[in-house]
Amino acid sequence: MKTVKVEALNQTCPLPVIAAKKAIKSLSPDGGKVDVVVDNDVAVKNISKMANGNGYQVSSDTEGETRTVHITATADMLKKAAAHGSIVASVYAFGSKTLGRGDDELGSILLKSYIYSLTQLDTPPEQMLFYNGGAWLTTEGSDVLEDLQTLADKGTQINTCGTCLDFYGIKDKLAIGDITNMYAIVETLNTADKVVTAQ
Amino acid sequence: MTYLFTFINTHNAITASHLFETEKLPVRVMPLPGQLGDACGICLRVDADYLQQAFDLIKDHGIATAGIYKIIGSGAKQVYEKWQ
Repeated sequence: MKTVKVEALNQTCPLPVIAAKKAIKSLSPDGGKVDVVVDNDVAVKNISKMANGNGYQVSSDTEGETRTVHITATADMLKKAAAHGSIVASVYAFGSKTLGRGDDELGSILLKSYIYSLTQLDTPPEQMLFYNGGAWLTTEGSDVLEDLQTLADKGTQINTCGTCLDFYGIKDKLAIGDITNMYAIVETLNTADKVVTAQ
Repeated sequence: MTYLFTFINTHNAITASHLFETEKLPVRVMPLPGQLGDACGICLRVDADYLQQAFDLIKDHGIATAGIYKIIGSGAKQVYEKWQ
């Protein structure tokens, strides 16, 4: 089985993940292996998450400062991943802690009502993205954490923009979901079947 | 058990929401369920442990409710039984 080696040292996420995806795409339909060399645990975690999410086999090892993520994609796995695609069915994006323009108090209460309503859907959103003022919704003290937890329990992926958390000084207050970045946000929006922006 | 406060208009709902938050009374917002008719579209959920406190606060501050209901069941099968 052919092995493609990817050097992604000194690269911050999501660049190692993008490089790994490109290498997997370059494999022949018969399958193959991709070894991604990185120098930080976050990259190992994100590459592993991507590989697992696509149904590939993944393992990693550490040697000094260097970590290598080993991805194995058989012909069958590549076929299944291609059939499934990386398309996200529905994405709900939140760029503010209020809904609509006008009165902020009304906007705040409307947004809480909106998020509760999402918990009542038969098919919950596959992914929710929070950026700019929306980052306040996923952090400690937010009034919608309980509803977001209900959605997370139903399988909704919750991601908040790391730049935004950093800007508002609330990175250590994230209370639900994961931190994401603009590359990943754009990729999700670009591949989603349906994007709903709460405005 | 959870209870639902409905209001005669949005201003009363927002005032009640602020009041509960100020008094550190756990409250959650939800849209008015279709079967509860034509009251204001925003209502507030309060756990049974805080029902009396919430009721007293609303009464003391002259906030106009449209009704208070006990929420029975969950999800699509929820029903609302009149409490007050």
